[in-house]
Amino acid sequence: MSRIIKLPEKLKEIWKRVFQTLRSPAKMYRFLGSRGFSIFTMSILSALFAVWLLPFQLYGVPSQVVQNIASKEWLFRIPYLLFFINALICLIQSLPVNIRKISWTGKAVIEPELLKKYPYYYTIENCDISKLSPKIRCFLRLKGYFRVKNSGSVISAHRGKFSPIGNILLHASFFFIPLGILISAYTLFDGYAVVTEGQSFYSKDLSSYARIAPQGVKNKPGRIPDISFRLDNIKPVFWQDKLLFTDLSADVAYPAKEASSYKTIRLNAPMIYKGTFLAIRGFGYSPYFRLKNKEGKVMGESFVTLRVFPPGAEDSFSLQDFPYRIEVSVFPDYIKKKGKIESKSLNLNNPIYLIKLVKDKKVVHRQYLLPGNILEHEGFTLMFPEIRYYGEFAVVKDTGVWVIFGGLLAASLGLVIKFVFYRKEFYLVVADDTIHIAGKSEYFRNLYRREFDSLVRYIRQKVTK
Amino acid sequence: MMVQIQFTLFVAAVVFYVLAWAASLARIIFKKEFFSPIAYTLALVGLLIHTGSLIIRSIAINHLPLFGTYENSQVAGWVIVFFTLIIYRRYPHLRKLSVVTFLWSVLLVLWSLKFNRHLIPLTISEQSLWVDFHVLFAWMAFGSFFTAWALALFYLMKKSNQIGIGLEPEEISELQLKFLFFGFITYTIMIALGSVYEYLLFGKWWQWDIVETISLILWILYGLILHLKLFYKNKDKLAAWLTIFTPLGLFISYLGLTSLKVLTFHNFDLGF
Repeated sequence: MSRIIKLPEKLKEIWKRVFQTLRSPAKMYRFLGSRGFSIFTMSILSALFAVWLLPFQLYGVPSQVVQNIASKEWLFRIPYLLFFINALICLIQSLPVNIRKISWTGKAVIEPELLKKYPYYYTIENCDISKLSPKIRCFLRLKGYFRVKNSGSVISAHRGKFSPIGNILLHASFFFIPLGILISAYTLFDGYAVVTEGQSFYSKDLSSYARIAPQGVKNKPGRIPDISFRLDNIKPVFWQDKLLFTDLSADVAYPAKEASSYKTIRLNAPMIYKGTFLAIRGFGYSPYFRLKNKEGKVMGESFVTLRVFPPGAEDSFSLQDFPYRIEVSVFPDYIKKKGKIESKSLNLNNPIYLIKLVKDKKVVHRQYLLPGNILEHEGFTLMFPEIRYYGEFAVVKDTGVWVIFGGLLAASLGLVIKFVFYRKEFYLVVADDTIHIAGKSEYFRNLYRREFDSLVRYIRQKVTK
Repeated sequence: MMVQIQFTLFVAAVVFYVLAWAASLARIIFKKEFFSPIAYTLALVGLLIHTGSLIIRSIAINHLPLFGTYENSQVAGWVIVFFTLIIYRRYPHLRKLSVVTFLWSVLLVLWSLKFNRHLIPLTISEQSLWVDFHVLFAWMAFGSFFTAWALALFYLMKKSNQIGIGLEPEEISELQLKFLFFGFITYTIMIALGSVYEYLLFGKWWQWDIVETISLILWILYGLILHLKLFYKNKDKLAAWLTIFTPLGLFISYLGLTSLKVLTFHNFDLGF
């Protein structure tokens, strides 16, 4: 109850402090770079992601929509900005301290008076110094001290000389990542192409793309990459004829005209070609159709990419001057079972098509068609002499991504340097028949006490008369 | 045949884990140190048998057992026992932890039985060293965060004098920090590796998949806990509470999403 009564007073006090901070630029700078503010921005960001993004995702909202919310809404942009301002000021503020720490030479402290200032200090009197054996050095190395020096009456051991670099790397990585995102926003080209076996793809020709994602601040794609290739072969490998791909590869020859180089692109191993990322993302069946009119004149013929995979799936296409919509299903390796057509495998070994001609939502003609067979309807003839695979390719040029990966590498390295190779110091100085032992650790002060005690015990054991 | 051997070994491992947990419990109830080495030996034998079971599965399936909820839960149980045994050896004062951790491990491996345990090869998108290391680091992070979770629990109990451990609360708190450090490092590396492989697969380094969003939230939260523990010594209690509640997200992202049937490319349970 007393807490509730005190609350308005506390709020008043907080408001007073905030007001004072806002009025003074120096205080504002200190506040924006403070650890308290780091915690505040982190809390806001995690809460925003949890409250504003996760529910959408649990309801199955597509990731593209979530990405738009997370990257374009001011509700998110402001905390991002505050987070980076905080990280920047922290980096600037800690830089002189970190540089000073890095320039530490690791030179042994030999003055007993200075050793007394260390958090852990111990003396052993009346001992036999000659028993200070190299075993102590080994023991220290075993305890993780990489640099152990012995100069007669002084043994110094330390590790983590460069641990401050970890701190700089970690905080700097926060700037690599947004910098990369910014570069991507202005330069990213993200295209999606569908190419049938035996056909060529020219990146510069925008009509070659099935889809180009609008990107960045201008909502326009970046510069179109200049690549071309010919798709020779697509090879999907299924496990036990189930919809589980154990391999999906595409043989490409590039550039398309000269075909001077060859490469097999796998789904898990894309190709980087002239700085452009080229990956196979999927595949499907692409039948070749030929339609003739009543006079026997060809009305249209070409490969058509249809979403008819897996077997039994139905897709359709229509042609100008042909009054029907053509619905197609493909059974790639057909077999007749109890009078019904089925596919015994997913490979194109023995295909058959199920063709339906549809007018006003009514099926007017339905027929199974083997490659080369002809479907006749009201004088029109339709045939599918050939079927091939088509490949779906991602064509991405993203300069920013390398900067982002640099940032992720810097963050990982920074954390390892900072938290695994943290600084520890240990000194043993012999002066006036007394051994002075001192040590300190950057982290884990209390646990270090145990380690220090065990070191002292070991040394005492070795040197006691 | 191999599936049968693997499953038999798995059942044997579970029996040993249950016995180890019972011995740990007996140690607390009867306050007899005599049960401690028994619990350790039983858990070690269980872990060896479990390792054998996982190795046989790896050989039979030709990849590390890191895919699908069955394998994931199996490894989760293994990782918890592994980390507990490290604590058992290095920090004898914290042996009481095993009452919590062995029980969790048993529950996790039993939960795995709910899922498809047939030997299914990896799809092409899962066949990469990037994924192997991504998952490996995820498990290392999981093990560390889980240990930090248990230590936070002990820290709070010690603070309120509900448990007798030969360590000071500050020492438990620092141990917790040690595991948080390790967990945070491996978690960051896990995210970085996943991001690189995502670029290789999709041409995008981040797609706001639900598991990615949860990972990002957890990464920020663990960063926050580390800031609290490093710079605000008087907020150790708050940090401990946060360490206890944050792993809920881990459980949701690793195990819960399969049950919720949410749209994610991190779901490796195939319906065969």
